[in-house]
Amino acid sequence: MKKINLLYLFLFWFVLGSFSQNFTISGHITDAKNGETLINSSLYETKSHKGTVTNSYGFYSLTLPKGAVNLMFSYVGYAPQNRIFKLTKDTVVNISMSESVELSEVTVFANRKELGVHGSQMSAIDVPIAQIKSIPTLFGETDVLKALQLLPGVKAGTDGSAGFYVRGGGPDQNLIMLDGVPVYNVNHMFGFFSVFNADAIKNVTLYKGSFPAHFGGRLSSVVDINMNDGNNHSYHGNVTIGLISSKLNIEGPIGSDKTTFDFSARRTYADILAQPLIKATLDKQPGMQKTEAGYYFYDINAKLSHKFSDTDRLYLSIFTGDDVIYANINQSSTSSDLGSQNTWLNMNWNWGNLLSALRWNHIISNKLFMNTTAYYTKYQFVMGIGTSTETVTTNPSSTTNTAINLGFHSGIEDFCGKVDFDYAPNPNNDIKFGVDYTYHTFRPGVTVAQITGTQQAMDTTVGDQNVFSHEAVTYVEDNITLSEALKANIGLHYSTFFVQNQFYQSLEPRLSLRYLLNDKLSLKAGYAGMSQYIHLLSNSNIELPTDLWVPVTKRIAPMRSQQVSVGAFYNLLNMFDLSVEAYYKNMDNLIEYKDGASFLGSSTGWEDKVDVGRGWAYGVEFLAQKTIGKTTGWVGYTWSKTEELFNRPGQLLNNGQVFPAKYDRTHDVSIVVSHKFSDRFDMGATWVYSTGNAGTLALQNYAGLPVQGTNKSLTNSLTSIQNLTNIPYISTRNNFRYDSSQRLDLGVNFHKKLKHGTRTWNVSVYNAYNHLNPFLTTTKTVSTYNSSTGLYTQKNELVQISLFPIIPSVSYTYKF
Amino acid sequence: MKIYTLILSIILFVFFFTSCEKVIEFNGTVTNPMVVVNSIISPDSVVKAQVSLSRFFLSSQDTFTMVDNGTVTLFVNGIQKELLTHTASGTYAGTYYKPIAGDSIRLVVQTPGMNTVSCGTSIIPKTTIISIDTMHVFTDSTTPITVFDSISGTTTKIGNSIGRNLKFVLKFTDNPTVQNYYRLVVLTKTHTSKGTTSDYSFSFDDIVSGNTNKNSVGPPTSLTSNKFNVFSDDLFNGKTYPLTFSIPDNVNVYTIAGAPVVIRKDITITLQSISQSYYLYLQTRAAIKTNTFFAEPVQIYSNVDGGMGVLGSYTSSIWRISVKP
Repeated sequence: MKKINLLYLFLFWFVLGSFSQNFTISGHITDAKNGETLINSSLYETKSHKGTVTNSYGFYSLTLPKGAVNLMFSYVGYAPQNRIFKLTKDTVVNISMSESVELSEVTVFANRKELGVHGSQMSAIDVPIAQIKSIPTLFGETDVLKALQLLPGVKAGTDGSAGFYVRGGGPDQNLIMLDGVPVYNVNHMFGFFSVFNADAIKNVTLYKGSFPAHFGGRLSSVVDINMNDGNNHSYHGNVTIGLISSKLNIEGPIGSDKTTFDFSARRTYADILAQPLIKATLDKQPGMQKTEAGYYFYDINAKLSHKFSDTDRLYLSIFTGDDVIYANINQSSTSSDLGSQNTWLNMNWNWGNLLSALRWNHIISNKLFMNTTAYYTKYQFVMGIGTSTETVTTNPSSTTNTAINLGFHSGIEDFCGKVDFDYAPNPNNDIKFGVDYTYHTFRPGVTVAQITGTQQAMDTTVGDQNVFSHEAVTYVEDNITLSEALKANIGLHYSTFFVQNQFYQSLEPRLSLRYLLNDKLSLKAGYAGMSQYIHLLSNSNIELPTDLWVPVTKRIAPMRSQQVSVGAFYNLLNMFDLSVEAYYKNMDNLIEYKDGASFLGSSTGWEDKVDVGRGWAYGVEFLAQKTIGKTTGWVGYTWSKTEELFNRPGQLLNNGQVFPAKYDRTHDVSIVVSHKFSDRFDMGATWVYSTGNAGTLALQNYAGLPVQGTNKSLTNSLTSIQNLTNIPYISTRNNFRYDSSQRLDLGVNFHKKLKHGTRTWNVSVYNAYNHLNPFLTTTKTVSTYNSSTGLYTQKNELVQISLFPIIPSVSYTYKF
Repeated sequence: MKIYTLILSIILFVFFFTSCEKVIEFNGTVTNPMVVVNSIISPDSVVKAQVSLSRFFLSSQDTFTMVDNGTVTLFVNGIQKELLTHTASGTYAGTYYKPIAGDSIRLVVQTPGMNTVSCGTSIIPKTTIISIDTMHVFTDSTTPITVFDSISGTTTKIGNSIGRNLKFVLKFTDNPTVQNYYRLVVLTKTHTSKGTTSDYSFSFDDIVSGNTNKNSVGPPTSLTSNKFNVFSDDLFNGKTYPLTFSIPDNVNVYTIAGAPVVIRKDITITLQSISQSYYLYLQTRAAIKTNTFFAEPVQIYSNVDGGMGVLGSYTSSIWRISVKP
């Protein structure tokens, strides 16, 4: 009965709002300097206290009662604008905003209004690309994902890694989207750099909880990344030469201001620089003819946009990037007796993403915005190794050719079509709804072996067949203004997944509430149910190209989570945004690898290598941001716990007892500061501290029982079996804490205006006080010779391996 | 596996050529040694147990301390039966009691200066092998048999090895009233015309569930997933089950005189009914992969309250077959 009453109340509110005499103001908000649409830009009507924000395409729609209106348009770092007019009909107001003369020197970062005190959304943070670029990083490589690691609620993986863990979730529980397209492999160089080139990116938003209903498919986070559309006024660009890579970005109009492009490319060149060293080393080998070997990665972002009219726009986004390891070696030998022999070794590993998206914006009416997207995304790993030998003998005269080639490929591929609508029927409701369909192809790994020219010729293909699945989603959400103080976002997300004759579905309610206590202080609460139909098989601390995406199966049901969060948001002196959020999340059908399981490059029988259980995470996050002034940045602190329980029949881990998750860390602190001294000089600093990760370490050893029958005999001897007598005793899973991690990174920028542009020298130091943070802790046995006894004694030592000591770097950027 | 070894080597090189390694202090709680009890018992044999002390993982001690002054008390069906006698270093044995199927066994071990520990198991009834059928299956592969002369550096072909497997179908009936656990032990002794013998034991990665490497046979290695051939009756509870497995039994044809021709192969097949504790212990022991960097750590099963180790039991049903080429 209570539910029915609430429904009537909702409908009454909706109808009341819809049938008042209202008119709609709509339009796009863009940057006056380059025509880029401004995402999440705010507009606010001062009399009615109604407002909204622009969507991902810079479009807004606000319906207001007939009469005089005073509209304030604002975007942080830009001079606010207002429009005063009498609203007597539906009106289009396009706004071009200019960077604030007063504030441009000092304002680089701010949280968007929708996420701050006034918005209903919580557990979400915008990180403008300007702020990301000011954060000092490893080898000076600006990294979007590493910037996210500095936010409360987000934990970095191992030292230097771009992998991240949000509110107790694993890396595969993060949905990372580039222009609305999922990116399956977000890392270069085994996870130490992300694939996102900051030069190509306009906006990054992280959602940790209270997910709007238009997002789904992962349990723990959504990272929504938007690429630049391109300048529609004139050509601009920049070139950066760094320690390990160089980058190029160029943008501008094509023909007229209706069509724009943005192109970015990046490539590392360690392989080119190392080539002389490799040649010098290998060429010393007798008979060496050709020596090429190395590793590099590259990525290319390209975007075209075309404005057909005020109501129709088309966007084409393309991203591709690969990591490549290669070796081409040719060696020959000649013997007067045996003739000559030529040997070639060719190795080529290649892994990366290719994605493209075509999006069509159409404004159906000034209240209804539609976006239609068709996209393709693929991650693949291809490995080839081959040797071939040509043997030429003169007496008797003969030529023999032998070759051994080995290949492996795996990956995932999606085709997707979706339609999203934004509908603002009245001042109190802002509705989003849509549908999408994705056709997944999982390529679980195929090995091809060919041997020719020998007695044991072979041409074999081994591996699992591709797995195909269908995923369909529909959603609806309404951002409702219930009163001046109370605002809510209510939504439903319904998803289905069909794979190998197995059908799964999930209905996920979403709710966010904001209660405004005064203009500076609000309380928020949120709830989100989420489901996930795919898993990433990986059991290492680093990202490997062999990690495999696999779908749910009949035995392994979809992961599901429910998260509640509450928080308080306070704006101090219009300068500081302070927030505290508490959350509790439970996760069901989690998978963990069985004791001893390894997934290196093979998904075969993966269901037998995992156990299914549940987990829960809870914590408190504090964030204090300074958004205006010469000094900007934030201080974040997270207190959290993440635990798991695997006690289902036949699915026992840790003897069915609760254990801490691998990335359960109690304390995480981050301090990010940027300071602009003048137009010519600014600097940034980052300091992070975190409790050590949990790991499993055998703290005792004991004499194990010999097993009869394995040593070619049925006798139950008390003599030991080699390597297994000394049994490591692990009391509980993840029973050991690595040492805590801490790091200070510093960076300074020296700018100078030149005739045709600006040059910037960046000097940065990663891990400035050289704190050796743990990557891996293990034991090592050391033998010592005792000269007096003539005997060796053995001693076990606890050894910590750290990857990155103090690393200085320098880069040069020319911007025109 | 060579590919993966190569992948690993390169990846490890990439990471560790810049890495720093340092010896660190252990900041956790230094745990004291605990009493370790190991005993696998079977009917028709007196109870034996091995008692020792564990050692802290950073201990400089390189051998285990055997407990020679402990008291090991045997309880059968809740009643004290006898005190085991110290017979050798760390080893204790009963004098007269031989377990019978259905008995509930408990060992209580007291060690001076240490906690009293205890463990229990029950004796599983024997599962009789109903029949074993064998069949030779040729594999359509021929491998040259060669000898290498290290002095001249030449390789000479001396014959061919024709691929052939010996397939077994072992039938037994599972007890429907309880959860049962089994272990298959297959041993061969090959006799040659020159009077030499060679012994082999075999492991079968997939013996019942049909999951992985159905045809994988060969000696157990550290990478074998089911090193000890254990399985449960989950898929055939209460049924007469035909357990199918194969071992290689190639036919060697020599082109030279005097080669050591195989004249007979003695095969011993043992079907053990094992206790749950022994099953879990062997499963976790087999899960340890000694040379895979990326494998998950393994918690070895222990059923010793207050200590570590395992008390398990088995009963065997044995068939012996002699096969001529």
